[in-house]
Amino acid sequence: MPGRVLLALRPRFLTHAVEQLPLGVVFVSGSNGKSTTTHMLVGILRAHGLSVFTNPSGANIPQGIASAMLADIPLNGRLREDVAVLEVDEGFGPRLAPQLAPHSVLLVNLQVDQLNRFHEPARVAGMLESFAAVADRHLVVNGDDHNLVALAARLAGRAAQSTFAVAPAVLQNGPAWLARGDNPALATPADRAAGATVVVESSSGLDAELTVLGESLAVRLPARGLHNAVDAAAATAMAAALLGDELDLDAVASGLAAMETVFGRGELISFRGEDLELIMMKNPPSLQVNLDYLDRPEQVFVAVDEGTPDPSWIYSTDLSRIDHVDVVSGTKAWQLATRFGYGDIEVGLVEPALKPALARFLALPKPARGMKTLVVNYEQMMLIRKELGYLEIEGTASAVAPR
Amino acid sequence: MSIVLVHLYPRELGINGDIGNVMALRKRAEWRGLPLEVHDHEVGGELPASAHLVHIGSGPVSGQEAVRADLERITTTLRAWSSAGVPFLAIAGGWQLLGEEFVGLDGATLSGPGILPSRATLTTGRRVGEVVAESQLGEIAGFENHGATIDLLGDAQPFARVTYREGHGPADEGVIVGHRVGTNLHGPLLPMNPAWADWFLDAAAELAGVSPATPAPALAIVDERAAKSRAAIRGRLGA
Repeated sequence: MPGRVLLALRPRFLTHAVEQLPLGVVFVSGSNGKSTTTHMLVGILRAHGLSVFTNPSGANIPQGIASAMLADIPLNGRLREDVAVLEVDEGFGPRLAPQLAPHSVLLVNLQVDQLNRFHEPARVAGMLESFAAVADRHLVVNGDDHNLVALAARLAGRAAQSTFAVAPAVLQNGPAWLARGDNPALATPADRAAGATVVVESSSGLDAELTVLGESLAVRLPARGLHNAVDAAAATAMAAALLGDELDLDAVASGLAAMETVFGRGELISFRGEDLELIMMKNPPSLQVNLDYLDRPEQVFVAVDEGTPDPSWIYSTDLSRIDHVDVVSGTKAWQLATRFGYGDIEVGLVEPALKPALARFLALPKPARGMKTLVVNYEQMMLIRKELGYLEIEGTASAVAPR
Repeated sequence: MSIVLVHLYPRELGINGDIGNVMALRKRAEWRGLPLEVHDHEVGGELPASAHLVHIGSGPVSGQEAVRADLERITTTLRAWSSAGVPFLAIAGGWQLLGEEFVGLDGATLSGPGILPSRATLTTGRRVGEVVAESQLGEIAGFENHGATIDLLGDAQPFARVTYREGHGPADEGVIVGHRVGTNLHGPLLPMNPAWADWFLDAAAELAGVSPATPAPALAIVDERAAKSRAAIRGRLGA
């Protein structure tokens, strides 16, 4: 990876790259939705005529950010854009902040995520706090997330603070993971932040209604769902903080509308003329949101391996959108199959080895309705992509072979 | 008459999927023809008049703080149930709360309800990984992820003897007194180790005065999958 080598050779590369940006550096972090929120904020700022440097989704640790900058940067080693808006991993934020000196930080939420890595949400709150403390201009947090509201209170007096929130009536009808409040992340009415800059008033399909500084604004989302409306509110709140009087609501709407529409929740892969949908099993809230989109898919493949050291949390996931699983794979296959058994979800085949499992699943006829659906953790997704690539090449080869 | 299963603080103490223990008890009771009701006890709520089984899951320190005052409020009832032989299953953070003493990271000692004869001392270090252990009912497997050392008090017996875990030697795991068990094992414990699920159910059924019917075929299916889950963990630990 070039970023890693670069940082080893030139430890001040990141600092040098950003230190002369006229409008400085903005961090976007949190458990879920930071990629989407970053894209939205970038879209809104660009619609206001700014040139923005950003990192691609998931390239949110030092090496990834360095690689992304390397691809963009001129010979003097300094970014040419007006401002850098960076998605930052919670765990690496504390290391990145001293190098990149973000003047503004946007925290989207703090949810249960990767307990084997982060241990517990309170520890993640500490990580977020350590780099949010670096901001001296704007700190924007989710006003419905009591951990983040408390974090902002502890940092009072540093940066100017503002929040975004969901109207209480909408929150009540929201998806389970949002309404449930993870352990218990959702603020009670008493400790919700008052006076949010941006409020989600309604969300229906791709349309959402926001109130931005008291003015109503209809926006079109890149994907369905309240969580996307919340991400749009987060991005708008940070744009309002950064732009002040220059904020133009039409530009907010056009910046959001310019984003490519995403229909599924997962990644679509075309394989031998058939679309496959890959859904990532990242953490409880994100998996729940993804599953809530499914409507009893006809063909389901699930694969989980050591990339998810303890899949126990799958017991707290509502799996009612799935009524059967055709093939379960990965080193944790039997644990998942046990979970499905207790959920009255029928299981066809349990085959821990990926290759034969995938072959069996792909051999199923094309479903009459929808797509073949694969619910997998990150590591299995990578292996599956690779495997599909091989199979596609083999398939092509056999298609052109003499009859 | 039904078995009444009280689940303490499912909202605050439930980030490791320990709700799976309650799911396993509920489904196995159904498959074994044992009537069972689950009573979720939330902060500020009322406990039922009687209980035949109590479960408390694990949670972060913030979750423990959120329930501590309520736990104190219901301590007398929990102690009465415990003296009457009601089985308890307490996982990690929940076990820390139900012990005699709880020593926080600041060194301050809080007294607990003493349902389990143990003292928990929070540590900054953490033990995370798969575990295989030998228990009264045979080999069990699970996943530990906790930041506390636990001392058993008096002549309390460990729940199991760890035989394999990554990077650490054999050690005692958990505590067992009568039908009360404290353990650090997730997996969750009962779905993956169904012999213990049935042990709890049998004790609860006796208290409630209900008897099982002919087992449903689903039991054998999940039990085989659970056995293969344990075998996979054993294999990964090189056992």
